[in-house]
Amino acid sequence: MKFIHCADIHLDSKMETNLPASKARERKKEILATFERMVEYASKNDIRAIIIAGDMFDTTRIASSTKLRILNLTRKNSGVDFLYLAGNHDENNFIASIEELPLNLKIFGKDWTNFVYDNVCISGIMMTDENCKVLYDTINLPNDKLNIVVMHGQVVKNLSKPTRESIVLQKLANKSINYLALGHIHSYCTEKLDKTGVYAYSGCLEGRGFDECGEKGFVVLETSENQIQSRFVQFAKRTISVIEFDISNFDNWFEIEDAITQKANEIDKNNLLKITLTGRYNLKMEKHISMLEQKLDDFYFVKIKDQSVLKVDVSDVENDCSLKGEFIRKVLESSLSDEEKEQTILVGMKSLMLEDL
Amino acid sequence: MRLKNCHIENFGKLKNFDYNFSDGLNIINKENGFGKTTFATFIKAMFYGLPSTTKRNLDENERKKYMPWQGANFGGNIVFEVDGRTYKIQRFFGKNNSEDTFELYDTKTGKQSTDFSQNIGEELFGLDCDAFERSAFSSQKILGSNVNESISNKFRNTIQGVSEEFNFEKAIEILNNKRVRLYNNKNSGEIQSLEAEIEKIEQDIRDIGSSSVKIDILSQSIEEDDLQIQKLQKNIDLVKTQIKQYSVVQQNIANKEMLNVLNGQIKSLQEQGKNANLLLNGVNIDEKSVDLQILNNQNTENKETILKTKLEISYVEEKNIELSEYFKNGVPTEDEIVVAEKNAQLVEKKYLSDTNQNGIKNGSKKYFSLFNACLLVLAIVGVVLGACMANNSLVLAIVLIGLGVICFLGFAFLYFKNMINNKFEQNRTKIDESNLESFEEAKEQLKSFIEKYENSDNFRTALSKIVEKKDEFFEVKKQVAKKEQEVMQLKEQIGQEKMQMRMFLNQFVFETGSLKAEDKLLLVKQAINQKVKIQEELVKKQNELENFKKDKNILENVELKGEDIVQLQKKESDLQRDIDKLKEDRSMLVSSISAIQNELSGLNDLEIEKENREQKLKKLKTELMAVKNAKKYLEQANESLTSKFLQPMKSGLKKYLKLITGVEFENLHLDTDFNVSFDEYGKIRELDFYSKGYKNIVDICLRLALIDALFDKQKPFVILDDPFINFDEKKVQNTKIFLNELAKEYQIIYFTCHSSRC
Repeated sequence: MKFIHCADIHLDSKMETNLPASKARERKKEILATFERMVEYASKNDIRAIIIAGDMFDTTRIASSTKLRILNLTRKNSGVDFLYLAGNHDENNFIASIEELPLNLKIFGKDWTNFVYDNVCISGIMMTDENCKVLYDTINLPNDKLNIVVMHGQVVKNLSKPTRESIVLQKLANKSINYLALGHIHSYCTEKLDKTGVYAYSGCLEGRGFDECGEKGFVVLETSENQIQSRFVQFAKRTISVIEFDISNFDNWFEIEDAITQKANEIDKNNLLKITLTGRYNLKMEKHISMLEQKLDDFYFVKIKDQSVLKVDVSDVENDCSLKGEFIRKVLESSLSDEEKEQTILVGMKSLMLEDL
Repeated sequence: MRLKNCHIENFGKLKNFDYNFSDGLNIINKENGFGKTTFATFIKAMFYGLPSTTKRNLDENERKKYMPWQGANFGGNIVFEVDGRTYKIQRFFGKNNSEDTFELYDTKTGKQSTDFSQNIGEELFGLDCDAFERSAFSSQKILGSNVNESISNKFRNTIQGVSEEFNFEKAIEILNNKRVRLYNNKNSGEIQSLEAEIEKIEQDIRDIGSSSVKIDILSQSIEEDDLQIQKLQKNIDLVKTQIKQYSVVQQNIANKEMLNVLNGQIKSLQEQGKNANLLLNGVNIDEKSVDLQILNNQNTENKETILKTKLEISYVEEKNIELSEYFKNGVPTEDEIVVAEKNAQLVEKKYLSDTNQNGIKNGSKKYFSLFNACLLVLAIVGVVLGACMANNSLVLAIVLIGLGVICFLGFAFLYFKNMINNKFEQNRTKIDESNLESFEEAKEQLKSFIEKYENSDNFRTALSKIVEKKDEFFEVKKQVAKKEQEVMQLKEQIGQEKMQMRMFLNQFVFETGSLKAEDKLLLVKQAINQKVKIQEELVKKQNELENFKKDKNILENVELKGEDIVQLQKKESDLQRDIDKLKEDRSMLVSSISAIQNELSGLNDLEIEKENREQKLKKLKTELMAVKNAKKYLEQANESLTSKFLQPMKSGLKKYLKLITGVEFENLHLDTDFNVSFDEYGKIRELDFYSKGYKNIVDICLRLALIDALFDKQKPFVILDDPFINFDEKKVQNTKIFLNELAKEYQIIYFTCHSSRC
């Protein structure tokens, strides 16, 4: 029997990549489309149930069109069960606003809720302030079945005071859990839970911010008589890539531009790309950030973050008795922050060289 | 510090060039083209090196400008004394910095020294190359190149490290313009516009966002409704249980009644079954067997009918009687018939013979002669005509002759045949005459035979009739015998079958004994049918009864208690109405939440708009901060530089003016922009009112004052590149005194191209 474990879809959520509004809207639609594709995948691949381990939506904002699509999708794929766990962002608003739940949309409640499929028992609990301390004691799993447990939160090895967002692994070990399906972390990862069981975060379906780089998708679980095999399926329409580039060893901007372009050419143009410039540069270096952005315009979206630092200190100008030297000394000796000093020096130097600001 | 000597391997046009410097004034009087600037640049390059640049303009690319063509050693050395120690700098230059070499030797020990690095210029003088170049080195650029440029501008530029226009004010102007673009009093700055936009978006977000509170209230109402629905549902479940109990009792009663009905039906069936069983007398027989018996009975009846028919007098028997009468004198034997037949033939033959003899004789002979004559004539005619035509047509002649021959042959054949017949006829007549007596006898025998049976003269017809009747009589006899046999067999069969039927029917008990076998069989069949039917119905009913008992779980002692069903049903209906109303209310609340959620989903776009603008605003504010800071620190730097240099330069200017002119300039003013003016009788006169030569004096004095102000760490050597070119003779004399005086403080390297200025 096969199941899908997914989480953190964040339908209708805000994009975190500083996309322009039109692209943000488009990306939002892409996330919904990817979810629909996943359901289609489930239908075509004999998936018995899709386990949604929390955060299918974000906060209270659910467009009626999105809700209708999800309900229609659920009803249309009646052969697939949707086992829904509300996460810390969901707050059950999706469920609350449904008049009549489709029969194949099943909800994990605030007490341990079990759904049994032949020799597989899927148990889940919506974590609250009230149950987060006692849920480890109330869990009761059948010994004669393969047990999948669904939760949403951050795993911690041990915690004396559990919160509604923390999952204490030690307290779940040796409880006959074969697979602990988790949501909350937006990248896929899996580790051992105890001698026989594993825990896994499926990650999100599509990256929404530049902190959500790499492959995104879901986990397919295949159960046999006495074990559960899991494999990650890369499914995102676009991935988010980040290039960190140290400009310290470059004499001029054009070499930097060429090197970055070369690196960027190795990345799929459909992706969202973030380039972070690091290192130190000297005053003679004139940066053309907007031109670099223009050059990488064929990517779906490019963001260049300049974190490089101006390489100048008092000793560099101690023998410079000019206005420039005096100006830099004054700025460097001031109480401004490093970033402010850099900005001030750059603007001052440009003005001294009569360049347009 | 003092320069001691230098050796130039290759540097521009100077090759293998040595020079020993004296401590004070070094006058290098060479014609134009000697390479004064090259020499000066070499001295600077020994202390500061040569910058690496990709600039193509030779004036801006000293490395390229002075690099020897043949790839010879590019550089040399210079020996100098500082703080009582003597060092030798040896530098050679390559195409870029990485190929450059620098070595410093302590001339006393002859060993390499690490007292200074390759940045020896900055380390010695406390000034970078630019500042050194602008002050102690590049005198001609400052003093001689552009006499029209205001002195104050030149000095400000020198101090501020810029070479063309006065950039501080322009830089401040640029910064101010930028600040105004970003933020101004008219509220039209980019920051202000952006802030206004953000505020508007924030207001929109607040307006929409306030709806999110409603979701909580509505959710609370939904929860309350759900609780109420749950409570009512419990009540309705209770009432439903009561109704169910009520209906269980009623159902039990109905079930009991139904049970009675079923039992009655079973009993009735069992009664009906008894009658059938009585008739069947315990005989185990099926319907098929009875059907077979019915068929047998019908068969027997058919046979009786056949027998009856057969027993009636038939046509054959009538015929038998008739023919027996016909042959009352006995049936003729076969021999008698054969004899009669022979006799009849004999009579017939005699009769025919007489008749034919007369007819043939007359007729045939007559026709034969005529036909033969015709054939003979045709034969003759054919031959004659053929012979005649032989001359005209041979073919026709042959045909005609041929036909004539054929006719002749026919004639001959018929002729001879007739002759033979006549001969035969004559012989037969002789035989008939001998048989005449036996004929009469035969005729008599035949007549006597026929008269036994028939009264007819036509012996042939009578004979045929007798033979025919005889055959028929034999046939009838056969048939009668056969029928008698059949009747006997039938009687035997019918007897047996009736016996069997009686035995079969005797097994059963009939109320009336006088019934026909057929009727009895039907009764048996009916009884079997009835028995089977009743049996089936009985099994069915018994099963029905068992299932009914099993399904209905009929209770014996159940009574109706409490409210009656009408009251309970009304209660249920009322509760259901309340639940429906609450559900309707809940549904409306859910719709309201959906509507708000839908509205809230639009917040994402607004928030993105807001975030993007906020990012831009942050960037602009950073820019504004940088612009403000840059302005602030540029002004501070300018002020600092001015205050740092103003007083020392004013003192220096007075000192050097006195040295050149011998006059104390107490009325001299130097403002913060390095503008020089003089107070003459209470009236300020700008330098522009003075002569060009005077201005040159002020220039050189200001420059020396600048050197005094800049080089506080180590007094440098001063390179003067023919600065007194515009001086009149009197002033030139004063400058000589001035130079000698100056040489007491500085090591002077004075380039001139004219001995009058030496």
